[in-house]
Amino acid sequence: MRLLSFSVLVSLATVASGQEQTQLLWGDTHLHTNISPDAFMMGNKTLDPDSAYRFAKGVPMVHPYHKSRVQLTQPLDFLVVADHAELMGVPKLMAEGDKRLFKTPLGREMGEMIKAGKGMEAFGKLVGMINRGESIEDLSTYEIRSSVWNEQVKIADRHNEPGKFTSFIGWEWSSIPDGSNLHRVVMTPGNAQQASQFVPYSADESSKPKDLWQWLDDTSIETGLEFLAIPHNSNISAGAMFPLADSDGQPITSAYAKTRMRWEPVAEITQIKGDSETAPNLSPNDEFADFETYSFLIKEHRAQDPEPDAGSYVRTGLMRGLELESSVGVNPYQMGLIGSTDSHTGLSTSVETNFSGKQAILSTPQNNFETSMGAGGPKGVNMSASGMAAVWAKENTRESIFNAFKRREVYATTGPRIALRVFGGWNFKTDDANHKDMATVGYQKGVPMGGELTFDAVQTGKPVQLLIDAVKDPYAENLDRIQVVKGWLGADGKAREKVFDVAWSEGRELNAKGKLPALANRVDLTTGDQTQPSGQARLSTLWVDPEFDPAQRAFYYVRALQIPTIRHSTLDAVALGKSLEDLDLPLTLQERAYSSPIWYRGKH
Amino acid sequence: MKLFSHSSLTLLAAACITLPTPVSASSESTQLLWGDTHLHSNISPDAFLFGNRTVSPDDAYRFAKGMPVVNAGNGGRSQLRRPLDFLVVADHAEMMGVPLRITQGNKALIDTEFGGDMYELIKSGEGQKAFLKFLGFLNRGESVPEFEAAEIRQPIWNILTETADRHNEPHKFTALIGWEWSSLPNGGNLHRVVFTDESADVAKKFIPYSSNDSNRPESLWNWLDETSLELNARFLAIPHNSNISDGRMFAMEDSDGKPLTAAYSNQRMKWEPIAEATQIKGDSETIGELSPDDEFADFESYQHLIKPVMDGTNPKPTEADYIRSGLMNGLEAESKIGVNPFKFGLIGSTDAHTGLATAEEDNFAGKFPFGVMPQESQGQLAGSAITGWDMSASGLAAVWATENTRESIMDAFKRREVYSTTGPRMSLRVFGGYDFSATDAQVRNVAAIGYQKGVPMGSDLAPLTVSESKAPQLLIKANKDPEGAGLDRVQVVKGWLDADGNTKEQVFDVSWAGDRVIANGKLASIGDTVNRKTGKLDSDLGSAELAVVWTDPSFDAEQRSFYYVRVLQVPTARHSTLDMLALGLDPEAQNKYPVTIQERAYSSPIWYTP
Repeated sequence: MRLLSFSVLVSLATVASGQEQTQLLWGDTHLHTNISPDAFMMGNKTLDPDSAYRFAKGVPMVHPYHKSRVQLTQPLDFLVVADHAELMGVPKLMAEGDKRLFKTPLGREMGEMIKAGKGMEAFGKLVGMINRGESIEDLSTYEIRSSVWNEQVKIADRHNEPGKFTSFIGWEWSSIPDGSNLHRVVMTPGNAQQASQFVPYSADESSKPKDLWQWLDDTSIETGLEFLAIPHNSNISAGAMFPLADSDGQPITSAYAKTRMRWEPVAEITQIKGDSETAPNLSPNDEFADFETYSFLIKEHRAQDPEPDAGSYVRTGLMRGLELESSVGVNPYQMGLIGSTDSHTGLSTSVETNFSGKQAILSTPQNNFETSMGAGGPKGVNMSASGMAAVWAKENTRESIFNAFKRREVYATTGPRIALRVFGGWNFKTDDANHKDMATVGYQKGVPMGGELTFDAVQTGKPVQLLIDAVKDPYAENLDRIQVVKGWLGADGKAREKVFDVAWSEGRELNAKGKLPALANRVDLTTGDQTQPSGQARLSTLWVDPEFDPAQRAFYYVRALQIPTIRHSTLDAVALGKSLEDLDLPLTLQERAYSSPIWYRGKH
Repeated sequence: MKLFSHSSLTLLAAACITLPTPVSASSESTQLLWGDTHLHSNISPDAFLFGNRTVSPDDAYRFAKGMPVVNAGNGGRSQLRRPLDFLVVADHAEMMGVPLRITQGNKALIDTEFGGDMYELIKSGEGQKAFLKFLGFLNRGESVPEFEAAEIRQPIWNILTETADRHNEPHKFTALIGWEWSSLPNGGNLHRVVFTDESADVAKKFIPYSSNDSNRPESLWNWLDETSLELNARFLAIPHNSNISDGRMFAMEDSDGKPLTAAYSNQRMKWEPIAEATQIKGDSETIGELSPDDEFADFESYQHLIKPVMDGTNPKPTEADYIRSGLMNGLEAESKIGVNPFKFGLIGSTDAHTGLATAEEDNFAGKFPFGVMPQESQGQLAGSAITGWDMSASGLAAVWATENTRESIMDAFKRREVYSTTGPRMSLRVFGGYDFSATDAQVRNVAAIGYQKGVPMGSDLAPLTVSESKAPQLLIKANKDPEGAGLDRVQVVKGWLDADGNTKEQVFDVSWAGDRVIANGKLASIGDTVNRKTGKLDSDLGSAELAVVWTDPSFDAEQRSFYYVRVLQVPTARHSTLDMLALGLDPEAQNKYPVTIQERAYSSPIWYTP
């Protein structure tokens, strides 16, 4: 498999002109169904994995909580049903009166709570037990786990239609030591027969990522299967997602970095529990940094949530990667970016107007505003109607999509289907940005997003160039601007960051400080409509790094911003007749796409 | 713009006194407005008792203007993709606001026998039982005096009128003041929506006329005669659901069983120039029993009379129950008594009781609030054999108005320059004349030629003498809903009175998508690309635009006739199909509800009188 993905990289780099080698596929790698314990206990009794795949394919469904009919305007191309490995399917089995579970004291206690309609309390108790590392073994015998898992993988296989719709087998490893979120979605391109050789590795086995990677190593050798682990919600990891030391407090080594990069080439940057790109205190010069910020750790008893930390955000994680690479020789955080929902309703919805809640009970305006996830915890309105995984794949198959993840030719959006091409190179011409078939030029003369630029290929004196093309979602609003986010390693060994505005709408000009004026906010706050047209449908450019230093390691990723649109909480507030002035929430937002970075390794 | 409005006002004055006269105006003078003249809120007793506790008239206007609203069925958020241009909140005049007031603890109401019962039933979640009891009153023509007391009705009515005024934004959104007169003798539906283009200060001077005052349409018209004179106000009454009128809506006799007279016709036409052809409780254009040669006749048929026991046993359809036969009855009556009592234009509207004007298959929020949930919609309405799936996700009122104001919209209704759709926003221009050339249909601005050389929908063609060798032509241009499916075909429906005094009807296919040909007098079906798993279209079908100049091939200058246009969309999934898919049911494993439907538009007719 690794050989195969290597050969794809080579063939893309040498692609013959006139051929579009990749197509854009849209999906969600992170969807929970009623098999996930928390989903089942918070209102999703009915939306099972089969329903989740059918919904993703465009079939109408009955919403598990409010019971209306829901349907996607634009079906997905691929989906990973990633239910929690811990207690997978157990609450549903308890509610069904499963005899194996009712024989145990904990099983009986939880079962009675669920039956009495106290699903939320039952969930809080479980989170507490897991946080404290208490045994929940009674509820997760091998027999129960394998019977639930074998059903999951069969359903995924049944819905996989090569060339048309791809369903991946996957699960979520839900490690939360002391409420610090280290969750990973694990997925494999393998089939049900192969995947039923194991039961999904869970946080009950270990809450340390390196133990997960060891298991992936062992299992891939035993079964011949490939895997990917996708870390997410670094924003609520309390600094532990992109650390300077491993789970045992030992400094990061090149071995750690290699192992991590083998299994984790891609991270989830945006989802319902907030955006993890960066935070205002980490990126004080980035006026768009405070976007869908969410800092509620997953805990049974809530204390003060910590300030955003460099180990908690993707941008600072990428910067740390440069620093660590220079000290240990391998970059442990050289990751591509996707978005996905983490929805627990079985419904992959990430558009503000079709968002159906993180948990099913949050799907009505009233509950979105009034129901807290635990005492002092977040409400639905604190959550984000996000995100999507965009993949440049050769075809819509398990192998092809998996390869695209491995080579990081993927990107993230916060909901809208913004089409985004990014190529890095040294020898582009300005005209290339206007080329009808930009991808052919891009692949021919450069590397796509997720790739690397090496100094060897450089004629001395040439700076890094990015060839960028962004097209708005045909069903959504126009684009405001394209930005390039650059991170680099200074001579002092410290990483730095800068955001460049590189293309924008409406003939605005950069001001004296080099800043692009904000686009007027034209959202009608009663309907969500635009009061007049704004932005541009397409923005393309060839950007040349004006501060390029061949000696410095660097990464570049592209951020494309949509014009301001209404937020889901505002629509709910209007529906409830609430005064918008009293809401302590953003009324509008600028949805966005994040490309995977392109790295320049420096002149060494 | 001001000039136009002045000229149309002048015309209007004329239209009030005489029968409507076509506007002779330039093409720029009319714009297409979309609305609903028939929406109930939680003020209507049946709406409230069937679960609409929360969606008030204010919410109904907000929703129509595009704002999100919490729907009363399940507390979810509902919002229109495309807002409306105008709305009439037309709550029932009978027991108006009474269940709401009872729930709020109004002592005078609760102290009555029925009021006390209702209070308890609502409290125990059995409001539907109270509704069935209320239906019995309506069927028998009885009422509870305390419920209909002026002290109860006037304040509620005042709130309704003030809410309409508050939401009325000339040139942007029009809120018309109206109500429903809900006459239901023995379950025969004679309901009329009544509206005025006046503001609250005028409307507050009366209390809406209700079927407790009288359940005879003639009495309603008398009241309109008197009230319009007294207040110098214009009104319009729109009969609807003729399909469940038990042979009464377009009958050839009056409420006393006496033959129609010229006076009856004049009075009826003064107040009822428009009828509602399609709505949630079914389509009233025609039905297979009456139009056996019309292959598209059995569309969204609904024959359940409104009675305390709705067990599915219903009378056979009669000519007095449907629009097409009603128009034909009109020709016959005119030949006998000199005035046509049924010379009406056509609109659609929802009659939704949710406060939410939704008429599309994929956004239909039900007749009553529970209809927003597939499982509930599948089940039967209390005390009846009717389910939510028996209802039709329909309809819309399309208006060619000079501007979006109360006056302008009222003018368009009065001159019948309006039409009906079953939900999709197809735009439809129809002009009648004698001197169109075939190329007139191909020009960009069909309306410019149409107004210049002919008369718009709703009008009369000039009479011809036998010596003139001309035949009526229709200049027709139909465009698909920009967000909807393509068009299958355009048809002309002609009705006439033959030399023997018999009414006749014929449907002509006059323009269609693709290269199909007419064989054995029939145009082949366009096909069906509805995906049976998703309800979405697998591939585009049909035309974006169909335009034609059609000339009547069988015209006889001595025979009375009317012509209206029917535009058919390609097949799309019915709301019941989407619900079944959501419930995991196979829509093709049943034959009670059509899997797909061909949504349609009906123009107002153009008449020829020798």
